[in-house]
Amino acid sequence: MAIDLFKKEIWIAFGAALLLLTPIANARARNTVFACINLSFILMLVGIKMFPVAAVLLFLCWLALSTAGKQRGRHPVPLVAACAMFVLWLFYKTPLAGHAFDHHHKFTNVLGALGFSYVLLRFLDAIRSIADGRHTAPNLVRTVNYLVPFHMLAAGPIQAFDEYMEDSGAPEPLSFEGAVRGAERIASGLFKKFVIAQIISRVFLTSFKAHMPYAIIEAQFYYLWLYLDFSAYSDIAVGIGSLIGVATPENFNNPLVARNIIDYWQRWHITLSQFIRRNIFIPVQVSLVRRSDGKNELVIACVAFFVSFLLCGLWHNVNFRWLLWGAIQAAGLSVCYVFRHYLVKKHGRKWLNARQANATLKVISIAITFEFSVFALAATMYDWG
Amino acid sequence: MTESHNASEQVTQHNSEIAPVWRYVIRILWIAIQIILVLWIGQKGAQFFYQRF
Repeated sequence: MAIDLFKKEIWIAFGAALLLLTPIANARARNTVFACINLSFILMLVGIKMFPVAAVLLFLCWLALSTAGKQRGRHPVPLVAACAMFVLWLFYKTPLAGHAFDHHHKFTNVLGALGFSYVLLRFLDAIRSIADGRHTAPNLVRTVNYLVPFHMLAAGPIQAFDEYMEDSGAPEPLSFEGAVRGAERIASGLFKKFVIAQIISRVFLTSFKAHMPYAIIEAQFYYLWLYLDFSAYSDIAVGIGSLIGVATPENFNNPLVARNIIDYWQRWHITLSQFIRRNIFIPVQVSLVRRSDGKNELVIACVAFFVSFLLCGLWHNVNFRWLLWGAIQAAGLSVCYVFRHYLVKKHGRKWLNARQANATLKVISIAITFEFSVFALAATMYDWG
Repeated sequence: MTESHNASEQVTQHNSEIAPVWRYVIRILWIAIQIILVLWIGQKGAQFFYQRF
């Protein structure tokens, strides 16, 4: 995670946003003030010397989006801009490339402060939406607010560009109940991350250096720790967003009780899985269905799962371990999809629904899904050497 | 009978009015406790707490 929540910058930005945005009702004025806060936050993180680099990068993103918005029909701008951002992301994520051109890691530090992996996904979502004609390009202020909202820089969520553009930007006045609820989300997020996850980390985790059989126990606690730590960031982002009146999507919905791996991906890192669905899975599936004239539906779905999750694995980290994680997830999703299809075909949907309502089967399926997620993560993190 | 019924209705109404206040007090108290624990365990370490395990 790029941002330490105990650093004062995020709380200064939050305080400023609370003080400055709350009294403003006008959407345009709110957007301008929020953009100033976001830029000031980046300035605090990267320092005055490197701030122009971040500012130029954001300006180029806006230029690409607005140029894509002005073009009609097939035009290379969206593709070229997406490729340029992808190359920049590779530079950021690949240590060798970064070290070759950026000895002191000054540039990669700027990209880290921006949460560039998330910026890349937001940019791709935006340019695709604009190129497809679903929305016009945002102005510079709205581009800054979409790409680098200060409370979503550390670990998302990845707001969908379509949702962002459809938001009026003028929220309802903050009620007392809303304020308490927002404060609760922030407090529970901090509590999860710095108390519960911290204790699990200190007491049970060894960075996967322990031998069997403790490694199996550690894997369970590592998964729990990851969930608490990661969902805590989302809780804090949603809490801050609700207090300052900036729409912030939910990112988790009790993934520990997911009943199968398809259900799991509708509950874990929801905004990432929705991004994958919108921008990789459905386009790949549609393209393959057209080529095969609607035949081999199951094979096509499996291919789309593998393409989507191998890329998702590489997005987490460009190495073999995360490629393996993506392959395990894709295999799980494919098996689940094919098995469900087989059961519906053989016994009918009513039979399947009746089985899914069975309490014992529910507990067993939750346990299997939990252990599958633990295994996928442990296989990625375990010190095989 | 009617009077006592009215009185109990009034008490119920009064309770439903003050209940949310207590709920808010408890919620805000829990927020404060969480923040204190975060500052105590998270930032300062509280090493002895971990060493007990």
